Amino acid sequence: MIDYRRMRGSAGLADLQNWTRFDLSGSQAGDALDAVVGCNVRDLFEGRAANTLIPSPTGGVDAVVWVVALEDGFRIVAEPADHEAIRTALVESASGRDAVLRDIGERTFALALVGPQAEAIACKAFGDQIRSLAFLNAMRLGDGAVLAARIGYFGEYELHLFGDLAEKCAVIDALGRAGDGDALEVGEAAFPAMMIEMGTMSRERDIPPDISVFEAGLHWMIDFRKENLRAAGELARRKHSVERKCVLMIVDGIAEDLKGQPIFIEDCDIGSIQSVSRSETLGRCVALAYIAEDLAMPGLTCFVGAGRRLGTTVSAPAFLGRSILDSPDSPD
Amino acid sequence: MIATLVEARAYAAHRKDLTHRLKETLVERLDLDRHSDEIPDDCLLFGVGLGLDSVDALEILVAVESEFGIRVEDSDMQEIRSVNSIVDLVLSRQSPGENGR
Repeated sequence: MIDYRRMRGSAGLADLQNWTRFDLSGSQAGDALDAVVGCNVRDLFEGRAANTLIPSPTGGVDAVVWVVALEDGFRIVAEPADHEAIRTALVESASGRDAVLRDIGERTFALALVGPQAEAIACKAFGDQIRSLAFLNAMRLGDGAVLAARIGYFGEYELHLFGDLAEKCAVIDALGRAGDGDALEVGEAAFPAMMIEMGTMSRERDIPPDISVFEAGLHWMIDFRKENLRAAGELARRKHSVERKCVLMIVDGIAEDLKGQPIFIEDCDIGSIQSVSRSETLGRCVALAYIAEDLAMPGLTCFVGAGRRLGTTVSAPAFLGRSILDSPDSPD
Repeated sequence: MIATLVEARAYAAHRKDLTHRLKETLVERLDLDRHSDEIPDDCLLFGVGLGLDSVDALEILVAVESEFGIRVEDSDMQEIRSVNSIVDLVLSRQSPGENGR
């Protein structure tokens, strides 16, 4: 797991070429986006980013997205599996409005520089202006050809870089040189473990269609005061019918054997494992599980599967990444 | 410790109550522009999360001590990370009778 060690221990550069990227522009782009996503887009001014979701018509989650406000519209970034849901929702919302949706996935690059040394490497490659780029902010680099955004999935310093495909090699080369010759490139194999460790949810992997926004624990991504909130009626109904909730767990055993397994306290089935990966940092498995609402709290010990593996519900993140521990924003 | 189902439910209910009280306290003492329900239990309070700073950390420390009647030492500051981590700290300082176990 060299990729994991790079991203948790030093820095890794991931090529997110296959990830979803849309640009929405036009005088009514904000209205078109605001009618689709949960956050209040009117709170987003140029250079700011927000992590939000697209509610499904039944009060579930159609997509988990990052939205970045640009000078002339918005960039929407998401995992590959959410592409079609985002496209469908935004095409419908843009229709009849002065808003143009462009799928920029094939003509632009997307890279993510991740890890406790990522900021230093980015500064060396692009200048000290990177240090002024706070989480949830974005800026244009150099002549403006590259957009840098502090958005994230893995609980480490993360710098997402977007630009014209023709610039991709130059950006990778610049970061490679700044990394003092250390290999930076990483694949996506470590992403599931790193996301689960932090309690970061993937719509496709972690949120079944019948799970509501509240059961997934993602209601914080929604501004419920919005008058144009998508699926508002169904969301209001499901807020009061939460039967299970997602919790982060640390579990003994082999990851491949734990997925989908039931969870017990005494002999009572209280839920099941949704997603699970081996955590190299913890030396155990980390899992996202849906368990009965009245038990969904950190600090519970239970058994998992027929083998009755020991499991514990824990607070997320399962641990603090070095980027956070070393941050000047840290309170200690 | 493996709890019985009854004990687990009592613990979870107690923890839910503490979590709600803490969120209400944070909203009031830090004058946060959001409802307590909108603060995720696991949201980091500083930097990447709610965006609080070291001054807020001291205010949180005082608020937690007065609201929950516990003493927070300098060495505990590592635990002032999220609503859940603060609740973990409060529970660890309460006696077994108090903490729902």
